[in-house]
Amino acid sequence: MLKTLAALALIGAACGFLLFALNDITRGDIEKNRTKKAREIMTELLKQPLPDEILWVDDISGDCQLGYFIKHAENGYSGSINFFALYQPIPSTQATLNKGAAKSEQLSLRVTRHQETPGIGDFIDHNRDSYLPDLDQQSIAQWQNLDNITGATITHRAIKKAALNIQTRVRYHNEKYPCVE
Amino acid sequence: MSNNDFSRGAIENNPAWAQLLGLCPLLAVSNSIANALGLALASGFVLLGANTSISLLRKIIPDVARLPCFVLIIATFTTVAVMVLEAYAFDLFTRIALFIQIIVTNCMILGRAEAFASRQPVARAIIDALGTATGFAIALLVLGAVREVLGNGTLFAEMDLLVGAIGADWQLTIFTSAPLPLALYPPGAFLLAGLLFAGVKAITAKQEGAQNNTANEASLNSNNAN
Repeated sequence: MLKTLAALALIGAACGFLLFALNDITRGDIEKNRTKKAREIMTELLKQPLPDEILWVDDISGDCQLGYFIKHAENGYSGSINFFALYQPIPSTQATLNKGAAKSEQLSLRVTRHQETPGIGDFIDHNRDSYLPDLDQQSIAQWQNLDNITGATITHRAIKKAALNIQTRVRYHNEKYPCVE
Repeated sequence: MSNNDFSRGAIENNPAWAQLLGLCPLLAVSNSIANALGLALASGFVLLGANTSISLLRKIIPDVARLPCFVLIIATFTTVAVMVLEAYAFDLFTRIALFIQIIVTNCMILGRAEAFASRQPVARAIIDALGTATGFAIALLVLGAVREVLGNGTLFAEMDLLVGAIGADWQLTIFTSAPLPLALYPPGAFLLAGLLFAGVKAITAKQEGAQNNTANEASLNSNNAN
């Protein structure tokens, strides 16, 4: 028994050390790649160049005028789905004037990482499918009214839940850091 | 012995067409040569690392806990492959990330660890890993080439994802429009894989038949001579 435990501990330690050392070597490049990808997505969503330095507070960045970028994770069918969102509040005056399509905010979503079933749940990947880009700048209510995709109900629920939770997070963020007009 | 170990893994006991192992990544990722080669290299690396480590540690690994040990070692090498790809081939990684991560559950790798590497010296375990990885790579690349030609009309498209800027000029345009777009989708993958496996089986059966006929004739001749 002791011999078995010692062997397991030895193998576990060797594997752990290898991963620890490799993580040290690759961490910088991985972070650089992820940041580059995130900036590409943010530029695509915002449709204008980004400032060089972006300040993140609680995984939220931006302001009342420009809108907020939010890093968000929601549980999908097979682990978490990582989202990148652009949430843009619309001033109440503008929303009132444009009553036909009155909405107080618009949300665009992109998925940066997921493990949904290939071919069924990966419609959320904007590199494979235009599903999410086609829904850009919808209000939270419109996000909630989307039809479910057959065979990917859990993935779809995760998107709807993400839209609601992102709204809650931005509201909480606004209470904590009120807008400066 | 070594040649036998290699050819057995690569051809006779090929994980794809003889044992039907690792079919999920095989069918999902073989929609282009670039993707297929990426998965083949990652799977080969994990197989080689796992077989070598398990063979080296075979006298330390307790028999009662051998499966957790194998899975731990395979998971470690899979994580290494994930980290390296995410750091140095990020665009390719974003496309095949899921299938790299599930290498850890690939029966082909656990099967070679249990059936071969845990009972054989390091040199034979390495040759077995190379043979099996080559066999898996052949299946992936053949299916990848056929699906890319039929589904996209091209060969070697987007190789720059794998080999850098030098691969951008490698693309060959075979057809100006895709002759069979279905080939890129899961049903197309199943159909083409089925046809490929049936073709290999037919060739093997024909060769075995020819060998049997030759053996029968030889035995008949020796009987007549007697």
